[in-house]
Amino acid sequence: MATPPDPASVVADADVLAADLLVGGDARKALDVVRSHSWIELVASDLLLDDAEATIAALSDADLAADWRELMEEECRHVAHPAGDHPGLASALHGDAAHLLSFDPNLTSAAAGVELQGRVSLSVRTPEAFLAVFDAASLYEALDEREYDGPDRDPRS
Amino acid sequence: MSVPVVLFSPGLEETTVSWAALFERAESVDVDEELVRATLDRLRGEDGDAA
Repeated sequence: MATPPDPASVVADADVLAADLLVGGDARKALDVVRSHSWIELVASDLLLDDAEATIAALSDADLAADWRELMEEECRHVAHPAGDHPGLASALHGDAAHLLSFDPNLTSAAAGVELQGRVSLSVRTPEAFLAVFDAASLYEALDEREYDGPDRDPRS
Repeated sequence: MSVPVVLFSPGLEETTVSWAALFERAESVDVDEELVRATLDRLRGEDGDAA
């Protein structure tokens, strides 16, 4: 029997990870939500981090990409999946994450949502859509049955 | 007799990477989400071609 997805586990596809660093905007705002709560986990496979690191290196420089990778290695929960699988989707499925953030219209479109529905319990959204619906306070209170005291980590540390 | 100059500073040897420092270094990179998406598509396509 499949493990139900964890609503406090989030996967960001490589485009969102790279945009978080290089662009800012909604990608950074969405990942700041993750970084600022110790109980929200960022999940990623090595293959997903490889893709993001390569994208960052292609658009900036290898040193920045390597330092980003070093920090990400410490920050995320690692999962493994077969090579050839889509790294974002597979990280979410193998890591039992309930959320996948992506800019890929092939994943975030309504048609893709319908196709995924019934096969996997995974919410695939753009960072903007994630920010519109994700409510850390209500999730915390639902999971812990305690009052939410706000973010408990510095998202820039 | 000259005084030897010590060029070693323990504080400089250990650099801790932080998000604040990374974001600051990335500020000079002028890209948008579309370019990031296109670059990833290209890289994944190249990976797929190579496989």
